[in-house]
Amino acid sequence: MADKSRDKEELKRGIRRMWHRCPLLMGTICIFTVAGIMGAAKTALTTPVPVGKYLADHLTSPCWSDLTAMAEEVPEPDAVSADASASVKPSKQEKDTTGEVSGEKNTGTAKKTVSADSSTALAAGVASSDADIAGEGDSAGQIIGVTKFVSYTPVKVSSRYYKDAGKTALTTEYPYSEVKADYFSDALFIGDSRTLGLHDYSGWKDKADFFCDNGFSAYQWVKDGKAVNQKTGKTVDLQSAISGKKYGKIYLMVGMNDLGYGTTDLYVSDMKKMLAMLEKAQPQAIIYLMGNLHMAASKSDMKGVYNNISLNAKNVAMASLADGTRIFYLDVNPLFTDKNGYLKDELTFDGFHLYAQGYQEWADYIRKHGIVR
Amino acid sequence: MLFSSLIFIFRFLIIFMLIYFLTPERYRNIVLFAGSIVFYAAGEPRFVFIMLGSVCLNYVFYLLIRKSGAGSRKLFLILMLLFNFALLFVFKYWDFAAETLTTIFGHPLMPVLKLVLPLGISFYTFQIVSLQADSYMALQNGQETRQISFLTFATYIIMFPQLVAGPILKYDEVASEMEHRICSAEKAEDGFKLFIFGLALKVLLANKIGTLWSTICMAGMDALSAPMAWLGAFAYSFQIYFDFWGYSLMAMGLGEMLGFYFPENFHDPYLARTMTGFWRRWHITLGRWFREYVYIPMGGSRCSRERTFRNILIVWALTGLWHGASWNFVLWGLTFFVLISLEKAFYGKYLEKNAVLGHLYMILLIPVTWVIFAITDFTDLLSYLRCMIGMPPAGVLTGADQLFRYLRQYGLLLGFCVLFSTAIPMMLYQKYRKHWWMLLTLFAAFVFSVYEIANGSSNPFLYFRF
Repeated sequence: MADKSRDKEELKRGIRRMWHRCPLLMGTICIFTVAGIMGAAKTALTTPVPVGKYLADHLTSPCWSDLTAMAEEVPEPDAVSADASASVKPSKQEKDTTGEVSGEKNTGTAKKTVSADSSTALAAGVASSDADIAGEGDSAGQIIGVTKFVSYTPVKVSSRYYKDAGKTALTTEYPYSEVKADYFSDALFIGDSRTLGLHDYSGWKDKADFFCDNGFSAYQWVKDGKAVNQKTGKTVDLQSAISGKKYGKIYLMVGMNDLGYGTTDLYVSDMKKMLAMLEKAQPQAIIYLMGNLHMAASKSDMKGVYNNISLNAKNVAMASLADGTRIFYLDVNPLFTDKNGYLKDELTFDGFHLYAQGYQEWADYIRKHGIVR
Repeated sequence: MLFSSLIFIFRFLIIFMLIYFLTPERYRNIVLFAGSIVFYAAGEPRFVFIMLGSVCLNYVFYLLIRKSGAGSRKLFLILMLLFNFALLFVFKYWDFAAETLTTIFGHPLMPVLKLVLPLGISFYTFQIVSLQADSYMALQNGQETRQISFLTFATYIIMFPQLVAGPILKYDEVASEMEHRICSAEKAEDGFKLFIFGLALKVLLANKIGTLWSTICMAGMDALSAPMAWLGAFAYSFQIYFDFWGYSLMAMGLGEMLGFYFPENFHDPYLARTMTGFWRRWHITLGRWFREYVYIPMGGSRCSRERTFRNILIVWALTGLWHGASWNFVLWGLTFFVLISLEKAFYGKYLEKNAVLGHLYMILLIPVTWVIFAITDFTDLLSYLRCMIGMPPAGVLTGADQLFRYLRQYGLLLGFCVLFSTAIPMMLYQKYRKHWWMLLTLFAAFVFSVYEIANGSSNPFLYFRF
């Protein structure tokens, strides 16, 4: 008995001595252990799903490893990729660019699905698309834009976050006009760091309103509704910020940063929420959805979610939201990508963003695809 | 594994330290050896064998050099040097040599191998050569030295705190500790504190100011305004300093936790007044290596003026080349050769005596040298340098507007960078290391750093080419 109490005393004295000798180490270990236990307890108590399954899903989720392994918006300099890319072999993106137009197109008013037989599809597609463009319109006599897709053989993807869409969306076909800079005095731009590039180099920063910043995503916007007003540099609630002025046109490009947040379906539902907000706040505005710029080969990683197949799936989903009357789809990827769909290496420093001159070309494209009503 | 990664801090380090401290002292080298293999294999499984193979073969050379007579000793030394530098050449410089020859002769003379550089090969090769050379020179001088066992030899070379990014040790510095070292709670605490200091430098300063540099590069190097180009140069100067210094401090801290005292690698280099002074404070162990094993054996400064001149030139060219297999690194090294020679010949003394002139001189030149170091492609490098002198090749596209935005975003961080370039933080740390408010600050720094790492923010590893 006396031994036991003496041992306890020894132990207590030993611990106190440790605290005296290495307080920081002891403190850090204690606090982190307690925090870890609390976090694990919280997870166990708040998960509706059986804990085992949840943990299994959570621990093997590629999202987590992507978040810690990849910088999402402001990428590392070539340091990391040079080390890792040697072992990553990007899969070739089959893009059938011979112009075989799939039968599936999006005209907004009525979804026309043509039969799977490629030859009839091709013929039907070509024939009816001519008819659409040539002026068959709705009762108001307005021309409806047609968003076409080019199909290719999809690759098998093992991710649960995206599937290969098997097709690429093209800019909505419509009789666009080439507009001048004044066109953008009632324009609103919403997006991520690429839109920030447009802000910097388009020459419209004093004319249009830009709500964009590094890292902007539909997922984040759905959660907190915030965006950065580039005129003031302040983070604001987007909905209230745009409720005052009446915009004639809204350019929206979101998605690159959504890659790390979840599935394509989640992205689509987030985009729909965003579009609903925009249509309610600005019912008169034309909405231009801009296809996310592809990434360079050095950054495309087929093992995770940061690759062009995943990005293209989002772009295709985005393009399907274009109705050709109020919502249009613009895709600048053909200007900057090679035949495999990768952003050309000589146009980018980090694989995600264009050099300044690239944004000027982008702005030119937008100017040549204006809709004047 | 990066030191600044969660898997290192919260998995490897904890498990390793537990095993290490529970192991009786005479088995600790085995634990350290095994742990270092796990550490290396986690990052580069294939190259563990190259590293171990190199260690084994080098040990054979070590024994041969020790056991042989004066004549064959030199032969084995030469063979050892050939082996080690051939290995380094093949992995690091082969493609560089191939491309250079192709450029000179117009057609390929060597096949391009595109080998991936084994992590840390520059560091451990130099460390092995240093040990072998020291052993050889001791024998040549007739000194008796204890034979190092294979386990000690191997552990010394591959122990994880200094394997991947230095400091490049001399065996004498840790000889007694390799055989017998004391691990205590106080040392573990001090080591942990130093580790946190280094971690915070890397994660909270280097990584963050690095994003400013990459943001500026992303805009394109041919259309920057001069202030923007200089801002980028300063950003990179801060990034590489805090990254490398932080990593060295982390290595020192880890070493201390294990019972070793590593030499310091950086001693307020940005407080130097001349380039000569700078290189006595920057990457101290590398400068020491080149001085002891290249400069002095070639004659150092104890020979004719022409020879000294030649010796200095070779050392600087090699120093530059060591940093990377590309001509911009050689240019970088030669830039220092020119500046240091000019300082020695003309104005070095005046700069040392005059603080204002000296610091101004360094503030102007250091960023320029780092730009030469940072940009590998010559066209880009030329573009950037032209931007710095106000003659951007494509006119100014990235200028005042972005400048004010970046200054607003990064102003506070730049202030901290300047502060940590002075001797003040380290002085405060050393003096008040045990005070409660310092402990609190360090804890907060640790938590903040872990938070930043967990957030997946930019965490580049600048030493992949070493």
